[in-house]
Amino acid sequence: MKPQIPPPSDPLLRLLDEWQPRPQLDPGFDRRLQRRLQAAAAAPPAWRRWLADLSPQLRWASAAVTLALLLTLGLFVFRGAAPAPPPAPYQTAQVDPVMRDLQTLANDGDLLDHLDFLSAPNSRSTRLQDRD
Amino acid sequence: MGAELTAILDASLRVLDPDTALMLRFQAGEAACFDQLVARFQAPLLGFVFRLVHDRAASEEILQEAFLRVYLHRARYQPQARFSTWLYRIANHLALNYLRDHRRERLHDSLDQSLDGDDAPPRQLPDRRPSPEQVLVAASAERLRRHRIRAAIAALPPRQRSAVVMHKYQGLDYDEIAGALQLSSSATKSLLFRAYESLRRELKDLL
Repeated sequence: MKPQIPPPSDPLLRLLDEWQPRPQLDPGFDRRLQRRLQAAAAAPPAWRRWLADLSPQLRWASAAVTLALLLTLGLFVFRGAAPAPPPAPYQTAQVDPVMRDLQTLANDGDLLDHLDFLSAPNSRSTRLQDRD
Repeated sequence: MGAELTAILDASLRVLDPDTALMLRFQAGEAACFDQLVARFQAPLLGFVFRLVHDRAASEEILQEAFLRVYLHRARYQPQARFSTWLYRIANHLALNYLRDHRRERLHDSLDQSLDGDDAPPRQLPDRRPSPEQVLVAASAERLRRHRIRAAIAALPPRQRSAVVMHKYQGLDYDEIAGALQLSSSATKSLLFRAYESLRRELKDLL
């Protein structure tokens, strides 16, 4: 069902007409409003009011913290300390050539050890056959 | 294309709205326009706020705060909405905050309050009254009816109450009410429908 707002001739709306309070503004309303507007216009900004409410020690502390933050920010900006760019997804690791050679030598050494291990039983059986 | 044209036409009409034009001039630096806006809106806005909070002093205070906010936040006003919509939104917000903060006091007051708590001027009685007793009876019956109406509206949920007061007593159209309550037009219609249905149930013996 689509909501239908009652028309002005509806008995309910005519009944609601009976409640017609007529509050009167106080004669000093405009004067008071003007005073408040002037006070608001003359009031310092919120941050200055907040600072004025602080005790002298806290005021100095907040000034020191602000200064430290500004110095840190300044250093960060002037030293060009930008965050490191993310690594490229398929970039291969750069390996020092000397390290690569050493790695190759080590691998070769491992291979030779394995060969020794593989050839060791055969040589033993050959020796046993010779004894027989 | 049609929708764009409608939007442009709508925006132009809003600019032509005298209150919106005054507000734009105030924004541009014409301080006298603010005084004109206060003079134009103080009476209707007092009626609106008073119907929500039922306290003259509190209504005046809310009114002052609403005008003060308009003054201080004039740079924030965007002419997409009518000035009256923006002002009613501010006043409604302040009134509902007041009601929330003073809920306990209002409960206490309502127990002590006399039936005629509207701060209305003394009622003009007809000249040809048959007898003082009959007039007293009739007047008290009328007061009782007014009290019932006021109580029924006060018992509505806050948004419904604001919508009914804006629609019935302030004569705002659906779009303005929707703008003031920050609802869609269809949601506003639905809200009003439910509010009037509740009032009809509550006041059916007076209809």
